[in-house]
Amino acid sequence: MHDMAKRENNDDDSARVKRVKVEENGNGKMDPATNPYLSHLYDEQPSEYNGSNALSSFKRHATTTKQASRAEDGPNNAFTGRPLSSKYMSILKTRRGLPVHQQRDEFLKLYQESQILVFVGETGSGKTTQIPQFVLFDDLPNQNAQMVACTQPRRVAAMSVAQRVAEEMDVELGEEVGYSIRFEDKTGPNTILKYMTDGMLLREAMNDHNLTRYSTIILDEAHERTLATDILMGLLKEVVLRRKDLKLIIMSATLDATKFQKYFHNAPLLAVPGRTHPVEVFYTPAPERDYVEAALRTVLQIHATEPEGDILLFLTGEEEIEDACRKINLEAQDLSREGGAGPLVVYPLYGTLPPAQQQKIFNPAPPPTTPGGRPGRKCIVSTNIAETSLTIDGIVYVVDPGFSKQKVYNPRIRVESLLVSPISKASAQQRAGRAGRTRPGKCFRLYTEQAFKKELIEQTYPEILRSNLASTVLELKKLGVDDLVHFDLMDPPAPETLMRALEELNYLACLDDEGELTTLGSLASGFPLDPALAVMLITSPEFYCSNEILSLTALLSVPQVFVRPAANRKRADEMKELFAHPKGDHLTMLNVYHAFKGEEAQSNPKQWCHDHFLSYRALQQADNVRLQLKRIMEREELELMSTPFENKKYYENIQRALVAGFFMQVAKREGNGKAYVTVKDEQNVLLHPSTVLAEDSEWVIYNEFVLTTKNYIRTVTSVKPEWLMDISPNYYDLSQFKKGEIKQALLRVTQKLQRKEAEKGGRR
Amino acid sequence: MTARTMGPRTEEDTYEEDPRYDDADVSTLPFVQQPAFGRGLWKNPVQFVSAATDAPVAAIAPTIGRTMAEKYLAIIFPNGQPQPKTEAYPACGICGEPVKETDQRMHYLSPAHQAVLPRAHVPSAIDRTRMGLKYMSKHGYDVDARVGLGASGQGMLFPLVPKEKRDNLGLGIDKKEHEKKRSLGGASKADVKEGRLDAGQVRKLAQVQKKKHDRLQRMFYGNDEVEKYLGQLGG
Repeated sequence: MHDMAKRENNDDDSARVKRVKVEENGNGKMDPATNPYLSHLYDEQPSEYNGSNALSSFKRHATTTKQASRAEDGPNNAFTGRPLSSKYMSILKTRRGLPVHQQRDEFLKLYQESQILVFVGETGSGKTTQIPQFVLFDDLPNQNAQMVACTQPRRVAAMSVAQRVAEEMDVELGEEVGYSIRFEDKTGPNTILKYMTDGMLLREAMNDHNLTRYSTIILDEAHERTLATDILMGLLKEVVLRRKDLKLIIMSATLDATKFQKYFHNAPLLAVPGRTHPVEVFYTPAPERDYVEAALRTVLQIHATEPEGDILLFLTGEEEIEDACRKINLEAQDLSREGGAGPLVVYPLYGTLPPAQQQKIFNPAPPPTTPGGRPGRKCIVSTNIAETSLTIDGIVYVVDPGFSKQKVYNPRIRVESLLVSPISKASAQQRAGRAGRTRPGKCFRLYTEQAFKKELIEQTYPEILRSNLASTVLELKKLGVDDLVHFDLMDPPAPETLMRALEELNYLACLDDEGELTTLGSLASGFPLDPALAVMLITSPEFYCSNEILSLTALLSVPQVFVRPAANRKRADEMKELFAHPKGDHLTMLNVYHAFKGEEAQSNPKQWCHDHFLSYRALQQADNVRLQLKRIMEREELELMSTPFENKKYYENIQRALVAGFFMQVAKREGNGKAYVTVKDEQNVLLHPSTVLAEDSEWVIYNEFVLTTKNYIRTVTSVKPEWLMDISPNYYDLSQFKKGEIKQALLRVTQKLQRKEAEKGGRR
Repeated sequence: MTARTMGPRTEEDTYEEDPRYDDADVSTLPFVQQPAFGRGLWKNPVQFVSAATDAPVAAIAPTIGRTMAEKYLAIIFPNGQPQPKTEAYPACGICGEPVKETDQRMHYLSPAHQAVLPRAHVPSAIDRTRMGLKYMSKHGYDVDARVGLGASGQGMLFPLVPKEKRDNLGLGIDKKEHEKKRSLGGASKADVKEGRLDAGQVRKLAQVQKKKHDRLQRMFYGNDEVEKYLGQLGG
């Protein structure tokens, strides 16, 4: 204990010394133009050059808004020393009009006074872009070669916000301001402000338990309670005790921030009002029989009767949304033909939509068909990504059926699935708030007020309660957290979920029987992958096919590569047949990738993908992911090799390597029918209709369990039961199996193997 | 003119040039471009009511319950509630009940006393040989204590139970009630009782009841042998 304190002191001292050094000769080093002895070389420079000096009078954690404003006004950029552009000046003006700017003084005071700060600002207050900049001018991370980190739950947000802030600060993206997301790092040695996904910060913590590279860490959108943010909060709560110089800001968009405050030992709270208008809420007098139909009717009704303003409709999934868009289009055309309303343009919005199409939602509403006619309107049909993460101006009407697709994990059958469930009250309020962004709006809820009060839970359950924790436990073990039982989480998961995660990792040999991290586990945690995928990749050299498994892992980490447009399904399926491998979908995906990397495809990959109904974006992404994973493999000295293609074991080796990672996701056919049963969990499933598996396969491994109208397993490849017993004897320990068909089948296999073995012995 | 109507129409098309554009009944669009018709959903608007502002309604409810209890007591004890008699027996230090038994030990064995004593929970059904459990117990987790995870054991005890929704029923609709209603030909039980049915519903209801009657008839008076024979014949 004593020792520790001493070491900390030393750290502090060294940090101070370092800082002084930078102050003494940092400026001179940065830019020769400021060196008085070289001034003759820079005749054209104005003599009162004071770029980097703008910050020299600043005392760390004792600055004021006035000082910062002066430095922001220029004429030179305070951090780079280059003159500021005119674009910067115009952005600066709008920035100063943001709600957070009114409270900069108050913010600085609290920030300087306390180590942890909880900041509440509604969407549109400018907190994500402005607060990190406020911090930069007070924390001056450049002086001791540290950084300010700002986490985001989503990759897209991290990228787009970093881009925006780089513009606001008049610097190149990737220089002073950068971002870091899984499989992509756009930062440089000059970076002082880094936007990153919460998962990335967690990864960094694995190698640097005290996060020494950062002077301030901002956890943004904490109200979304993603898995990584929850773990980070638990972790940082401890780091903050070890590192007194680290500052922590928790930013949330909702007012349940008191929960955060309490969790962080009553940290001070600062709230900034957003710019919102009142929203009138309507309910239905009785429950609706069909919420989708009711939603469509409501949209059309708004379009026909309400004054100008755009509509936002929340539905649950891609299919439902596309279907609704089609129907609304049709009905709206009828409506305008009858002269009941102006034109209506409908845009879908969901996560897997290509970015170019996502951008369309920002198009302005259409003009009236005839000059002076009834105004046009746009209608956006979205999943709950429009609830918090995306801000669309111009929305005046919100239609809320009260459902969303949510991830749920059932540890007893080990299935993580997306299920349509009722939203929470908080979520309903958030949806309603979307209507009041530009002017007073209306929210139409397709349920009764009674249902709102009685049937909806207060808050959406945080992700940690709804997820498989295998990768989280692996990360925590790597982070040095051994006591998972008492780890201080805001909402600890159920004991059974943790138990399952530990056992899964044990079967994967990432943890030994005592629960200690094995070499394999430590290696696996270094990959930004699910433990099963990581283990498959690491063990693949044993099967002489690490090149192929590397490609396959990359393909499994990106969105679906096959495109199947509703209008052209048949043609798309024919094209898929070209790549089909009779043994299953994994091998088919591999064929696609190899073809994609072939000469013919690479001459014009975009056209080639279009012709073959493949997603160019997904394949490109897979290529990028492959490169990143390859680098990690090379760093870890994992051999990259292939079985020669002529060898008849080429595909078998790949199948065996697949088993090494996915032996817990195996299903056996029931009798001779189409139905399958998953091993150990005994769930009845069907092969997903998209499969290309041609052979009759008694045993298959699957990548995904899909719960829709039926239970499906998707992306399947046939395997042999001998491999299962051979590659994972621990999991396929027959004494642990319940009596039944699967056990019988496996028993028969062992007997056969033993007989063969005996025959061999006899012959010898 | 023909070239215009054949080509795809753009927004810039002017309507003044051709007099036919003014006539709403003449469609100048080529036939193939006529979009399909919708189901006319827009003709059937959804009714909405504003959010209620009267919040205190819920607050009155519990007081009604209490007055009911008081009313009941007033009927049972018209002369006012009987007061508990002063205790003739000493109260037990542990359970607070009067010790009526002569022997203190006899009192300890009485159900009233036993019920107050702290008891161990029913042990958890989780398999004790599980590796995950072993690791967790090593770090001080007691599977039988009914304590969750977390710094102060505040975590939830059981995982969330996912509920699948495989229909389009709106929020707040009672699924059982809905199915019953469908079997009654779209009418609710109350409608049937009060006779608020239209002709179609009455017919449907009659059919449903006839089917039910036939089934009961078969169950009571049917002959298994004959049924079997007929079933074989029919199938």
